[in-house]
Amino acid sequence: MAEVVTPGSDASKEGFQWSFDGRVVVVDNGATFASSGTFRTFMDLGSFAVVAFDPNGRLAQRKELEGIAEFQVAANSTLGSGEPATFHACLDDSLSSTLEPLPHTLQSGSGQALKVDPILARLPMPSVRLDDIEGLSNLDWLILDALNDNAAILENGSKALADTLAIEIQVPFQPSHAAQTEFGAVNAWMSVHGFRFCRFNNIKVKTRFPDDLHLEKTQASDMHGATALFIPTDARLQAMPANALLKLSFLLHTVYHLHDFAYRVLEYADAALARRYLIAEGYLWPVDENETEFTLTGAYSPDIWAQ
Amino acid sequence: MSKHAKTSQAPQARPDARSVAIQAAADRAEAAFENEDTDEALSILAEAEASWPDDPKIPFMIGKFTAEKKSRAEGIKKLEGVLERHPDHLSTLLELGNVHLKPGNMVKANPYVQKAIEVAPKHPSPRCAMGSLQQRLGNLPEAVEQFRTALKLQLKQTYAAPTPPKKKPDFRVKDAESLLWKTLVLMADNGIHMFAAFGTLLGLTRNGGLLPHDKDVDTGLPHSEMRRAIAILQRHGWKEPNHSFGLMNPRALVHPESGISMDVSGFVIDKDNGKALTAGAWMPGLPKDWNMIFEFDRIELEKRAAPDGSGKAWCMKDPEAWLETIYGNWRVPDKTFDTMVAAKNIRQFSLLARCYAYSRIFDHWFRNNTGKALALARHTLARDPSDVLMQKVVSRLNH
Repeated sequence: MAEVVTPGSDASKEGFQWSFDGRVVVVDNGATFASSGTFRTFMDLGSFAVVAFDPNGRLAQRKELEGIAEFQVAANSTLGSGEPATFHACLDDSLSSTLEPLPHTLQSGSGQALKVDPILARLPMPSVRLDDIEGLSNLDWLILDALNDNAAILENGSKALADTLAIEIQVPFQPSHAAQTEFGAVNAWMSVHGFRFCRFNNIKVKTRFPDDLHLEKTQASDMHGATALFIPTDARLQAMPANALLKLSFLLHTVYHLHDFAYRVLEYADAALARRYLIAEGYLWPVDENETEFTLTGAYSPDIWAQ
Repeated sequence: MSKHAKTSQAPQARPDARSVAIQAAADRAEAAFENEDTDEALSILAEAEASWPDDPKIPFMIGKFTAEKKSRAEGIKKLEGVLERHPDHLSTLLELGNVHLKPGNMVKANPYVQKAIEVAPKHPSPRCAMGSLQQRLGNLPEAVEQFRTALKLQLKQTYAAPTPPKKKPDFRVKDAESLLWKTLVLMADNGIHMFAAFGTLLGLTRNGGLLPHDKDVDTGLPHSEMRRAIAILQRHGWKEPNHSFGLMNPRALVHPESGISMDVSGFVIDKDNGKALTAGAWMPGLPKDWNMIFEFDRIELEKRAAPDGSGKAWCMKDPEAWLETIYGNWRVPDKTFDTMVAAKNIRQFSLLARCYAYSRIFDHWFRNNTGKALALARHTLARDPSDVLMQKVVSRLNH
């Protein structure tokens, strides 16, 4: 039997079309966004302008990132307090950081069996205050990994973050490096500066089962970290310019797939637009309130036995 | 099936005092149950069971009433208990078949119905039950055969003077009408083109209100809106018990708060002749021409203010023409008219249409509602005048 396609059903939906002035300006400390598999797709939308701080220079090897418009890389530097930092280059590159890896982290790293110092070198590295970045007229979306001094980054970025729309920050539940900024401290800073916690994404878990046995099934319950997303409080959203709200709604929809949040933010900008969003995304049936007559047609309600 | 479980027409021996007392208790319980006082009915039966613990009739009734009104699981347990002591108790076998078949558990229903046929090969009720089972399985040729066998066996039953059928409780017309308009307005507000149809439209057009002898509210809508409509109705408290008896169209809903039922018929446009088609009865997975299809020239609606002032609702633009298509002379009331058998616009006397016709004739006949059985049999014979069985049924019911 044929699938019936009607207004509002998944098969008929074209999706909401976004329109706002300017690009979403992104600062990506640790280059997690720039090194993600979806980065190129997002950049091809022509809606983002990204500055990535890449402390361990990983992006230099990514040839596919060359030539992307509105994408700048600050290699071998990090956001921070403005004072020089120390970069710990580790045998296990995933542990390399401007924060010192904790002993238990190094023990579980891949260099354990080699009986060598898992920290290969301690190198000086410049850190840049967020408030001091030249030419950064506005900052819409800040992304912080968990391998740099996030407390210092936030404390030295109050001015730059005053009108920021979204802050994504990796927080450890089981610290892997010294002086990592925990969720409680981040949340406290956010509250003081007009942001609210939105949700955790990318929760990292480990199993407490032994790894030297072949288990028929597995489970991983131990949460080690997550990405916390913060957005401006509702009070601030209500007072925000429409263009900023459209950008934030676009970000929440396109990157995070948080359609209910995207709707709510859009509603602060334009209630009619928010309603159109619900219809376009298949959440709301497109009721035509001016419709007074109706004739059933084959296009509207086709023969279910037709192939 | 349960309504065919009684054996009132079997030859009766002279009743002894014990039998009379058991029957009196059963009658009192039945009356209380029909009066919707299930607790009183069960209390009478519990007392009777204590007095005559070895009689299957009383625990059978307890199981039946419990399954119907209290707890399906408890009722089944009680009925199974009856079978442990009285493995050949026909009414219990049929009731267990029925109680499993209602929600569509054909696998569990089947052994009870099979056993009922073994126990009473010349009794028509097990055949009718098997017809219902095969119909639900979509095995319509076999279902038709079973229903016709039930009618053949019924023809062989000794004629008993008809006792008048029990009067159904009055349809709560005002409550149902209020719920109808509230529902139509709710649907229109949500972009669903739901309208009053069939008997409900007939009542509104001819009588200015719902038909007092009706049993539910009938509505229609574009079939493409069905899934969404059901979701909205369910969010507003409507339930769909027994999975609409295995039908994909119409969908049968109940409003538990008021106890009022509503059939929702979906309409499509036929790809070949452009006509508007609806059910009848459509089962999933069946060939199109096995289904029972009603055919209309067109569906044209207009939005009007609901009479209760609750908002605007979709209504049939030309209800008179629509009613004529299905009922013919709709202005003259005909209490024996059954749309499922007598509708003027049934596309063809399909297998499913035959199932409904034969089972309903049997049902009315078995319940001594011979007037309605005869009317249905005549309509059925008119669809297939060469049907010798139906000629015999009409002839018998005529006398």
